[in-house]
Amino acid sequence: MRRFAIAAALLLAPVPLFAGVFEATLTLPVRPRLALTEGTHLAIAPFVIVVAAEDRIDRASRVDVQEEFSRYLKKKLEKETELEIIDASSADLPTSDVRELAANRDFWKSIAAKNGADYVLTGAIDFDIEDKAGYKTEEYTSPVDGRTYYRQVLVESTGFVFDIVLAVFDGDTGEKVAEENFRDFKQFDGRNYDELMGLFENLRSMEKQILSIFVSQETTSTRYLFD
Amino acid sequence: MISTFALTLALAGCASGPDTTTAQGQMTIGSRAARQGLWREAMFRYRKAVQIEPANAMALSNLGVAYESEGDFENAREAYLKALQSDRANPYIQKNYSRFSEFYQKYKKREPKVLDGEQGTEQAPATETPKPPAVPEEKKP
Repeated sequence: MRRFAIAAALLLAPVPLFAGVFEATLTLPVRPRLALTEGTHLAIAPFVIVVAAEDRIDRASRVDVQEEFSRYLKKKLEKETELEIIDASSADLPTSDVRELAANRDFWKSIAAKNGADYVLTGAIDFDIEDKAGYKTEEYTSPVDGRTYYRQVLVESTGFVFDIVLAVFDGDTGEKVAEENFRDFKQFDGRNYDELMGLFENLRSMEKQILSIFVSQETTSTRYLFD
Repeated sequence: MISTFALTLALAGCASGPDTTTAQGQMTIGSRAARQGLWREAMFRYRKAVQIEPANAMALSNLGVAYESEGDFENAREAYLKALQSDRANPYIQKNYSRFSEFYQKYKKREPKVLDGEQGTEQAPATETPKPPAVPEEKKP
């Protein structure tokens, strides 16, 4: 246990740069989760909205997450992949229970057959808005006597949480072939930050992760080199 | 290409340039190339350094980085492990290896399922998944 703690501390501790050592940035590949061939037909089915708009009393109810996310996904996948994207978001889900839905192979097969798709993309979305207000202690130097005082300042912010599970089903067998979970939190100064802007800020942050299911992406990482 | 040529010319023209008969000299040239993003040249130089001094931990670590930059992850892993075996206490080498391992494990985990859109059949990946990197034994004080 002690050895593990020492090893963990070593990994986390920053290493100061000494003479004769420098940092180099490498561009490294991130493999796609699924290697679908060019021209594969992918249908975007409806998503389960964890808390439906009609059940909400907060500002998140003003956003049609289903519509916005399906549109965003279709646009992104068409632009960034070689897949044929089919909009099947108007289909009715037989249940809103994610597990039941995942096990319902016949449903996914029927969606694929109706839309002429090889695979079906779906999942579950939870979008939440948190308006916050609180007091923060801040240092203040008086211009009158030049002394430093502490004062309480009201701080307001808006937080956006976007949690999504994306799943891909095989159109022939109805079997789930991939599942990924992504979560993003964004905080902005001030209350009542626009909800749609917040949603798209979340989506922009997760864009690479979402696309990495279907296409390779790149990441950067640093390494030390000796002169 | 032009940059490589310029670098070669610059090095050739420099009368008091690094001594290419030593591992240190080769490493110096390699690192100059790496700074300019000329990773193939850097790899060549680091290989030479390792040939001259096979147990030079710093040259081995540099070689690992060069392999990694070129996407040759198996050789990178081997070079990092040899570097660690030569100098277990070097924090830079430890850090390089831990960063590499973190990346490589994720990379391997994402061994893609090759799916054929028309047939809908899953094919076996082209290469078999290698064992996770073994950490060399810790030296007892």
